[in-house]
Amino acid sequence: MQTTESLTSKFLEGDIQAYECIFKMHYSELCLFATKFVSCPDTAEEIVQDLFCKIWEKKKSLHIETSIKSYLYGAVRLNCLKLIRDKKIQSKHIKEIKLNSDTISFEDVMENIELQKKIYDTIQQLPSQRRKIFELSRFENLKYREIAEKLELSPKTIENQMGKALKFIRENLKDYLKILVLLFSLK
Amino acid sequence: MENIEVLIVKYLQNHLSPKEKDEVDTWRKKNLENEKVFQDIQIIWKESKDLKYFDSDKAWKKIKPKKKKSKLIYITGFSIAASIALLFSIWHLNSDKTTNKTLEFATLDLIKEIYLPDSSKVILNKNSTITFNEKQENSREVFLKGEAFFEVKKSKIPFIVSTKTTKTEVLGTKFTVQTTKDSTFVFVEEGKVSFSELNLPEKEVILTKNDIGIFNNNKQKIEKKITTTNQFSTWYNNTLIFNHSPFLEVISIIQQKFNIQIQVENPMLENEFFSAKIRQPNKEKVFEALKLAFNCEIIKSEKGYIIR
Repeated sequence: MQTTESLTSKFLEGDIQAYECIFKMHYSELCLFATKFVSCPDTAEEIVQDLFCKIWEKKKSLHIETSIKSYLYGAVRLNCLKLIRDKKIQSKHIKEIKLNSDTISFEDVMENIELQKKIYDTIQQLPSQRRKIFELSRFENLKYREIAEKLELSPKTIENQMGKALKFIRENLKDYLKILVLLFSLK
Repeated sequence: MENIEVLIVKYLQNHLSPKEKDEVDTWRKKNLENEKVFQDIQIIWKESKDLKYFDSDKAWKKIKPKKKKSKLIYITGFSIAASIALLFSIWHLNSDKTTNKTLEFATLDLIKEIYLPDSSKVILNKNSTITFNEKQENSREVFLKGEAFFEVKKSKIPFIVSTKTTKTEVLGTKFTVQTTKDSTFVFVEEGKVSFSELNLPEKEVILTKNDIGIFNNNKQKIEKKITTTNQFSTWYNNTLIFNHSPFLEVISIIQQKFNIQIQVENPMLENEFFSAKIRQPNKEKVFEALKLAFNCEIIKSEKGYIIR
C-alpha cells in the first residue's frame, strides 16, 4: 500500500501511475461535489477533468500545502464559482448556491456525497428490470405512466417495483442512515 | 402495513388521496421505527434524484497523458534485498521496428540488480527508474530517476548517466547516483568521474574516491565534498561504514538513516571522530558501537534519544 503522501510526491515527480491512482480515487466524488454548484453533470465533469489536466501540466510549479484531497476540493469549488461568476454558463444551469459557508459545512457536503455514492452503489445491486425502472423514474424523471409505456408493463407493476426498490435500498442503508442521523443530531 | 414503501413514495410525490395520506400519517405516528422508515425513504428519494454516476475509468481514458504505446515484455533481475513487496517490471517502449528499442526498468518496493547491454552492473534502489537503449554501439547512456549504484565495465566508450538536471560521465568505475526532488548526488567508490550540469559539460567537476558531488537545482551549482562514510551505499551493501568521521556528522547520518532525533548533551563528544564498520545496521547496533567507543550513555527521551 502506498501512502497518500508518497502518491502525491510521485505524482509531482511526473509518475503517471500515481496520477491515475489519484484521479480514480477522487474523480466521482469531485464530480458530485461540483454538482453542488453547477447542476449540469456534464459541466461538473468538465470542470473536474480540466482541473486534472491542469495540475498534470503544472505539476512542477504546484504547491500543495495541505493534502492533495483538500487541494482538489478547494480548486473544484473555486473553478465552479469562477464559472458561475464569468456567466459562461446559462443562468438556468446554475444551481442555487447552497454551499454558503455559514449554512452548510464542508463536512456536511462530504457526508452528502458519501450518501449519494452509497445510494448509487445500492441501486446497482437491484435486479436489472427493477433497477431500470428506478433509474428511469429518478434519473430521467419519467412518470410511472411513461415508464409503463416504455417497458410495456402496467403502471401498477411500476408502482410495486418502485416500492420494492426503495425497500431494498433502505434495508441496505439503514445502519448507515442511523449513523448519519446521529451525526446530524450531534451538531 | 402491506407495501408501505409504495404508499410513502406516492406520499412524497403528492399522489395520495387525503384518506390515504391520513393512513400514512397514522402509521408514522404509531412508533419510532415507522417514523424512521419514513424518514429514510424520504432521504433516499431526495438524494437519488438526478443522481449521476461519474465513471472514472471512462474519464481517465479521455484525459490521460499521451504516451508511446507500451507493453510488458519480460521480467528479469533478482532481488538482492527483498523488502516488503511487489513489483518489478520491464517495459518495452517505442516498439517501432526500424529504431533502437528503449528499455525501461522501474522498481517500487524492491532493490534490483540489472546488467546493461555492455555488461555494466546497475543496482537500482526502490522507487527508481532507469532507461536506456537496447543497442548501444557507439555510446553508453542511461537516464536515471531515483537512485542507483553503477559498476561500469571498462571501455573506451564513455558511460553517461543523465538525470533531469545533471550528467555524470565515466570510463570505468564504481559510483552511486541519487536524485531527489531538488538535488542530485554522486558518490564515487572507485575510480574517477566527471560530473556536470546537463547542458554545461564544460563546467565539469572531477570526483574521485570518497568524493560526493552535489548539484542543487535551486542553487544551480555543483559542490564537491569529501565523505568519511559510505552513507550513499548502505542501501545496497547493507553495511554502514564510518572512517574517522566527525562525531556530529555521524549523528546526523544516524538521524537521517533511522529517522530518529538525537540530542548531544556532552560537548566534549563533538570534537571526537568515529570509525566503525557495521553490518546490517540498525540503531541498536550503532548505539552499542558508540557506547563502546566513547563510553557514553544513550537514553530514550520524549522526542528521541539523548547522548551524554
